[in-house]
Amino acid sequence: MKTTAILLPLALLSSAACASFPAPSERLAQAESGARAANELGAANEPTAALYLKMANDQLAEAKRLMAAGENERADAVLQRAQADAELAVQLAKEAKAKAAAKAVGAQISLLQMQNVTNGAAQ
Amino acid sequence: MSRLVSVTLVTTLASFALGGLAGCATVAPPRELVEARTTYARVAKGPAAELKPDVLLTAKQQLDRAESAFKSEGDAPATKDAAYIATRRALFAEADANTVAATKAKTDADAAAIAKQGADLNRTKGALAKTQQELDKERTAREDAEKRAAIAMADLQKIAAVKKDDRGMVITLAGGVLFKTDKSELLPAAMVSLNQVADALTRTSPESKIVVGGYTDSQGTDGHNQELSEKRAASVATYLISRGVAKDRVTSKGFGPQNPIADNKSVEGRAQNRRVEIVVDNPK
Repeated sequence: MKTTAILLPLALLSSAACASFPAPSERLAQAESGARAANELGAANEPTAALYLKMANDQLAEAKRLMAAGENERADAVLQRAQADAELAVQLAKEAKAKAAAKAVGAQISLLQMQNVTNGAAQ
Repeated sequence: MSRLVSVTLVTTLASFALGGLAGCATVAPPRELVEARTTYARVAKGPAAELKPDVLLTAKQQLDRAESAFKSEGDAPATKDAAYIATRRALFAEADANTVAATKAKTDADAAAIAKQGADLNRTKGALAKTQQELDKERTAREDAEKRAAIAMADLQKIAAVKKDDRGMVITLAGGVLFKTDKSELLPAAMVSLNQVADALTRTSPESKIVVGGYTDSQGTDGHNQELSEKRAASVATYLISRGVAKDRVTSKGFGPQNPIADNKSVEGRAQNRRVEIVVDNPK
């Protein structure tokens, strides 16, 4: 009893309002939404994007486990990681798409240049 | 129990004190922070600085938060979390900048392709115009040649009988105009007419063949007439060639009294039969 009386205030000091930290449901929704967006953009098909998408999903799973165990503050921190991973996966997927489009046009130009050489020779 | 409390208190106060005085020198930075620092340093040197400075700033601010956390809490979970996020933010800035660069490259390439197609189109148009010009020139030249040929033919009809039959175009010249009686040398006056004939012939198709035929009336021996008509035809042929008609188009032939065109019983008829016919066949 006496121990608890002393330790409890200390516990409160070291992690402020730990017991009454709300369940981070909004952040969970945001992180899940981010992971979905990354998936829809084709992150799974691009190696680096897929890596961070996996990390996001791993963090999401860890966060859910923590929330179920009542460790909301830790869950919130993990979800922030998950969000960062998901946002990065989205951007990496966009980068891959933009590079592929640029490459495709580059290929077209080389083709045009080759055709021009043939026509020039015919004249 | 109270010792546990006091040990916890002392440790906590000590780490705070050390953190505050020595600036984390005694605690090694967690690998998350090291990674965050390295990543940011690399990204800041790349295209993000120019293309996405605002996003790069956000990443820097996150790294600063991680450094602050490290200063105040050492390698606590909060530091590691902040550093983890800082790395992602820096990589985000890099990917964002790369996306902008790739999009611009595509736009530039599209513009270049369009410009190239435009240039190709202009070049084709130019070639087409040139060909059209050449065709027009050829057509004009051909029309001019045809006009001049028609004029030459019209002039020829003033001095010779020109008709068309199944052999082709037939130019008939009276023997009396070309030769002295029983001779095969051309009279000087004949050459004037033959100059005009030669001019007209040069304007006919170079593929058409020319046969100069000599004819006599029925008076005298066949043998004599054959020989005379051959020599006369040859004289005319030689002269035409000398006036520019292509040699490989021309042959000469004697027909003697064959193929009369008039009645040999009358004076006029016999005069008509004594003739040279220049036949220009139709080109195959």
